[in-house]
Amino acid sequence: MTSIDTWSPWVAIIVTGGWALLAVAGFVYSLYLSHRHLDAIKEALKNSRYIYIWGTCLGKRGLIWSLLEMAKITQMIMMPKSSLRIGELDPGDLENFPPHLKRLLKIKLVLLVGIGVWLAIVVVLLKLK
Amino acid sequence: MLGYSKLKTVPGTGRLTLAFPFRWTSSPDDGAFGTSAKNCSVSSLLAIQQVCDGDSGAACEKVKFTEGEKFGLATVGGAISGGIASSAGSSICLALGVSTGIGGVVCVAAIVGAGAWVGTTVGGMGGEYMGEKIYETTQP
Repeated sequence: MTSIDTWSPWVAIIVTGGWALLAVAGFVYSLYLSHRHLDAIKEALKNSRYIYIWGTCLGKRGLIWSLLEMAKITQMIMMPKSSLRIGELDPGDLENFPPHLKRLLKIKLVLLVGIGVWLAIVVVLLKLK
Repeated sequence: MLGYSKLKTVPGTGRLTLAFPFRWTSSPDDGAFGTSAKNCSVSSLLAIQQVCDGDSGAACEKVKFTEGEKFGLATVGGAISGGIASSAGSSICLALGVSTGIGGVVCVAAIVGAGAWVGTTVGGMGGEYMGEKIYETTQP
């Protein structure tokens, strides 16, 4: 693989910095979910320990917390194995989770995984140059 | 992308003013390293100030690009990686065998902190390189 130094400068700029646009989109999307859909998510997960312990605080602790909370809820629904094992997610809640909310959380998961992969690629390219 | 556009060196005085993200104005008589204590954590911005206070115009221009981008992308990278780590936290802590009680909370907090640190470091690396490339492409 050729070094990133030999690439066209604009391609190098997009590759090393473009993920930040995706990250900003991720922030905005988290805020959207937190403002518009959090109540429906809380209602759908009302039997789960995570929600009945933290439910009253969710969405009320500012920007960074909203981001962390939505990432956590996304993991609970999209990759539920560990949450089921430690008992923070109720299996009945997971089974009955509304499909339209699941679709919204799937977009969040794709954004998170996409940014993670892109950042890993940036590290590899800059370390190998 | 996130900061250098508002950086200005006041001609003849060596003063550097910055409007975003902090309302910050400093001058050479601010104390050690030309800054006051409230600015100590903002290393990228201090680097800009140091170069722009004492060096040539070209070096100052370049460092505004590299350190400005580094600061912006390190911030964004830290925040988003904290989110990614928050998703991965419970699985990692379960694998480590500390998933319940205080141990579980401390484990997830440590994973989120480590994730944010990695994101800040990687974001800074990418930002610095990107700033350098933007500087190069803007040169005639």
